[in-house]
Amino acid sequence: MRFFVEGELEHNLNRVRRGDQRGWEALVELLGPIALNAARRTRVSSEDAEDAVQRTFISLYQNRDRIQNAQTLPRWVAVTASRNALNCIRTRKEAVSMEAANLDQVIADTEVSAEAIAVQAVEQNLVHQGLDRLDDRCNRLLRALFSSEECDYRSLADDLKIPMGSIGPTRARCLDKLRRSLLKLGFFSENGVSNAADRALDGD
Amino acid sequence: MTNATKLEALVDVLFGDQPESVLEAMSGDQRVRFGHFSRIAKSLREPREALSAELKQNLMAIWPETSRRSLRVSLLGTTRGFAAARGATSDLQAEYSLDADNSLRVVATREGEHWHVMGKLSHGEWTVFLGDAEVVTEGGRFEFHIMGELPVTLSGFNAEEQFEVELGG
Repeated sequence: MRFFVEGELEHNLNRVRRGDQRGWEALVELLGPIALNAARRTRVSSEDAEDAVQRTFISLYQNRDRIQNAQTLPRWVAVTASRNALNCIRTRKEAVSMEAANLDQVIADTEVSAEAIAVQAVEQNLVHQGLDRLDDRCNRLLRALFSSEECDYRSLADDLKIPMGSIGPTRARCLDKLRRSLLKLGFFSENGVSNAADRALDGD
Repeated sequence: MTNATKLEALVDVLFGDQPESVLEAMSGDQRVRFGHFSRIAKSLREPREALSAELKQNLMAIWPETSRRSLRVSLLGTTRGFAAARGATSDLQAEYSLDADNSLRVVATREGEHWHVMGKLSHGEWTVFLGDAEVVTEGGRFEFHIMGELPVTLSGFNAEEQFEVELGG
C-alpha cells in the first residue's frame, strides 16, 4: 500500500510513453517536490538544486521507456536529484579553488548518503501526503504546530474555532490519526527508515 | 491513566511540554508509539520546499514540442476549418477529413438525460480522452455515455495528429 493513488504513477508513465503531455505534467506534479527536496538536502544552493531537478527530469524523459516499475519512480528521482546536486558541488570544487577541506567534508558527508538522502526525501513526502489526507482541522493544526514559525496558540485556536484548552487533546488525536495511517503503510517497520520507504515504493 | 491521557502525555513530551522522564513510567508499547511520533515530527519539522512556478514551467518545457497536425471541432458550431452538422433533432454528428487517409467521425445521440457517443478514428494508434479520463478504443472505434453536464471535451492524439471535439458546447 502507498499514498500515491493506486496506479497513478504507472498510468502517467504510460501516458508519457505514448506521447501524452498530460502524463508528463502529472509526473512533474507528483515527483517534482520529492526531487527538489532530495536535492536541497545535499545543502546545495536553491539555484543548484533547481538545476539538479531539471537534469533529473531530462533524464527521466530520456529513460521513460527503460523504467520497468513505475512504483520505483519516487526513489529514482530522489536518488538522481541528490546525485545531480552532489555533482554541482564537485564541479564547483574543481572550478574554483576555495576552502577545499570544507568542500571535501561536504562531499564526503553527502556522497555516501545519496541513497539515505533519497529515503529521507521520500519518507518526508509520505508524511506530508498522510497529512494532506487528514481532515482539514487536523491538517491545519499539525502544519501550524510543526511550522518553523512561532506558533501563537490563541490565534490558532481562533482560526480553528476551538477553545485554546482543546489544542493539546486535539493535536494528540490528530497526530495519532496520522501515525495510524502511516502504520498501515508499513512506515514504521522494524527494519528501519529505508525499509519503510522501500515498502511504500515497492508496494505490497 | 486512561488511554487518551497517555496519548496526550506522549504528545506533550514530543512538544516539550512535559519532561522526557514521563516516558519512564510508560509501557513498552507507549514508548514505541512515542518513537513513531518522533519520526513523524522529524519529517514535519524539516523544511520542505514547493516547486516554484518557474521551476515547474522549466520542467514542463522538457516535454518536446510535437509537430502533430491539430484539429478542433465543435459539434454545435460551424466555423471555418471544420465541418459540423446537426442531423435529427436529437443527434449531433461531425466528420472531419484531414486528408484522404485521416478522418474523424463522431455521432452523439440524445438518450433521455444523457448522450450516447460513438466515434471512429482512421488508422494509427490513438489515445482518446473524455475530459481527463481515458476512453477505451478498439481499432479506432470508441463508444461511451455522458451522464454529467455538458459541454465536455473529447480529445485524442496519435503520432501524427491530435484532435479536440467539444461536445454540447
